[in-house]
Amino acid sequence: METTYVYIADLAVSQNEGLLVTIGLGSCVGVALYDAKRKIAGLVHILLNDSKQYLRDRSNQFNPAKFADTAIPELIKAMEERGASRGALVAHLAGGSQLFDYKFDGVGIGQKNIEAARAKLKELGIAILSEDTGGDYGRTMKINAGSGEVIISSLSREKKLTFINPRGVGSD
Amino acid sequence: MRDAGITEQHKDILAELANIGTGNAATALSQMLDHEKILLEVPEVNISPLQHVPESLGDPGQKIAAIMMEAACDELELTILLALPLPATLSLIDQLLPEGLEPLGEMGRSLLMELGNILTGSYLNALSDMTGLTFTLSPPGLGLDMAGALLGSVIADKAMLEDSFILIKTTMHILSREVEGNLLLLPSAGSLHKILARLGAQ
Amino acid sequence: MGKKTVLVVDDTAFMRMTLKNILEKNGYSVIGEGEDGLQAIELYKELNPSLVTMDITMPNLDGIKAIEEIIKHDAGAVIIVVSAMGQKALVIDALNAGAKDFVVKPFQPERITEALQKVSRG
Repeated sequence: METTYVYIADLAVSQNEGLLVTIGLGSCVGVALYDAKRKIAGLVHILLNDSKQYLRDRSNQFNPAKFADTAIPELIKAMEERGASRGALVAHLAGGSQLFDYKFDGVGIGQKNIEAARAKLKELGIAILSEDTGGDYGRTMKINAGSGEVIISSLSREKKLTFINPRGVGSD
Repeated sequence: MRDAGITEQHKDILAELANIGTGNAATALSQMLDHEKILLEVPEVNISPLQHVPESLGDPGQKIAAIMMEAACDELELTILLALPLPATLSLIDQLLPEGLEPLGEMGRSLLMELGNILTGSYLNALSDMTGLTFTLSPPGLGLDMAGALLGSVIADKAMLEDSFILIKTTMHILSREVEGNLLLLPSAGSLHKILARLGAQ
Repeated sequence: MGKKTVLVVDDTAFMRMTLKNILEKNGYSVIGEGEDGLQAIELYKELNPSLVTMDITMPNLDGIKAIEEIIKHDAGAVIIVVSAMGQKALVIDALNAGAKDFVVKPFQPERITEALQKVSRG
């Protein structure tokens, strides 16, 4: 099976037999999208919640995969280029935890990332089939393009969570 | 930080800075460990694209303890990470924590934070002597998890927007225990040139 | 004469425990422990200890500012700083704020008791 690693602020699409993997989601959020009918999977590793908040920094090239609000549309675009249908997509969410134990007030970036990803998916009308988010531990997220199976693993929990897309949900 | 403007001479200066800073930190650690011998590797100064930062401590899936602190002097900011792979973490706790306490319980975690505080403080004492700058330090944050997840969280938590980073890494070996730890410095955008200017670099 | 009373201020529980052990072994009585500068000021006013050990890097309020506040309240307060931050300018700041001595972490236990003996004599 061909394995494609998705780095931080990075996205990838795979079809048929491929496996997409992102290692080490902490505050970052992983969004996996799947078109079951065409066996097309996409995965993005999002760093921050909102591109508009951070556009003041113009010294760098804009990377849409970095921010929840731009990463999800970018992932959909990449999947559509491979033949996926927007109406067929379902989503899985993982990450958005708080790994560092320090005293601070307010909402951590992990929680903001989760909320931003949920909001964007809702706006685009994509159903979230599974979510393994929050807490204080890191996660590794995998999606199998052939089966749509999503596996979330972590160091602190031996248990692997497995979600399989139920037939019919989201298919057009 | 973009790599633009970082020359080989700059890297040399940064490596020397890291060498002296980590030297001081290693002396502090050695004192805490009844004068055990600690060897330092030559510091590595690398310009790393964002995407490869999570691998900068080796296998991103390995479990480590990371103690994160932020040093600041005016608008200059340095994120400093003491990264200890699990064997080093447990070995240090074993020696420094009084018997009968849970190694990774509240007191063990507190010990790791204090260790980060002392080593980072010592590092900054040397940096201050060399640059004439006075740094303040944030209280430590501790994470025990996958190296890649911790490094990614540092970038996200500090909302670092750069596409590439200067990473200044020094590895310390505690010989008798065959364990090692790393001190990793991430200067914020712009900070590096101020430090370099302070040291008279062109 | 009774035991000298000490207020120990440090944000890490491990360092508070270490200092407390050293002090109690050497005949001092630790009557309070603070985790940040704000607690240090509160506890000082409440407990009126004979001596204080003060960290610098702490959340909410750092040690140097806490020393200034305590000295404002009690010009005779006897405070020694115990910090990993041994930068010259910070040592000077702490002494100007009213600290009587400065012990850089890591330390040998004797360094703490020597400092306390010295400042309580003075």
